[in-house]
Amino acid sequence: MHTRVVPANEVRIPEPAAGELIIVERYGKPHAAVIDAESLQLFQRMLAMFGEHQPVELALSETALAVHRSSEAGEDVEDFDFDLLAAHPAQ
Amino acid sequence: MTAANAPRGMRGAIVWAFTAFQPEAPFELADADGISRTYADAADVARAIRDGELDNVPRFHVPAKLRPVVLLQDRPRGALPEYAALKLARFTKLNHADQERVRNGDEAALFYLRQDKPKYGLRQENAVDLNSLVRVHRSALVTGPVGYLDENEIDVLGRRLATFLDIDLAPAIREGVIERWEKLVAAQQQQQQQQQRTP
Repeated sequence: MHTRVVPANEVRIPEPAAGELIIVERYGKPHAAVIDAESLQLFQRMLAMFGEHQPVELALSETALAVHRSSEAGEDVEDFDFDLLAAHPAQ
Repeated sequence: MTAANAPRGMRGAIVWAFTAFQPEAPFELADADGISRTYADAADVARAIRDGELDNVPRFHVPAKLRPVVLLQDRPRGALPEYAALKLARFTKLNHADQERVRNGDEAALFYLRQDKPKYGLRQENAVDLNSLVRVHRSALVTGPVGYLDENEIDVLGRRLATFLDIDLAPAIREGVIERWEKLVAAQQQQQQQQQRTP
């Protein structure tokens, strides 16, 4: 599943107790669900084991993509220390 | 010293190497006379090869970055000159909360390496980008190992890499579990049958 992380202080949700599933209804039908972090881990493990295999790209977070993009552009990479040429020469 | 007699080999080694950027359209290439030409897309490059404008193995102009990478393989025989590697990235452009997510290991695609010069040989904290698999020729290595990931870290990295390469290990794991279960059941049934036969 595509995962989107939202900071807790940006949304108002009821506090889920361990093992509790909170279903948010709209027009009398399930619209969204809230589960606690431990249940989410269990759900993700079961999904990985028994669910249909999904391309991992679907689950990449914006954080991972941001780091990947800047890294691939060579923009946020540690500067080379030229002393390493003598200290750790290529073998 | 060669990779073969390096004290710890190259698997899990952090080295500095030149990694070339992936060619992207519009493509800039040198033609048969060495003159630089630009092609809008890959099909245009193929047509230029067909028409003799470019060599069969054309030269793409691509930049390369000197950067730290972690090598995923050892080459004790030296028979294969390329190493599979993952690039190391900084994450200073993220906001504080997202940086903390990386540090806490909440971002599976980014394997966090704390600032630990004796261990990793790097001056700053970094993350291994699991989506950055690259092959590096041994002649493109600028340094020998400046640091190493430990065995546990290499193991975790390998498992995660399988996931990020979309290699589905679940069927193999399921088969293994079922096979083991069937053997256990068969052994138990055999034991029960033997007990029933014994007066």
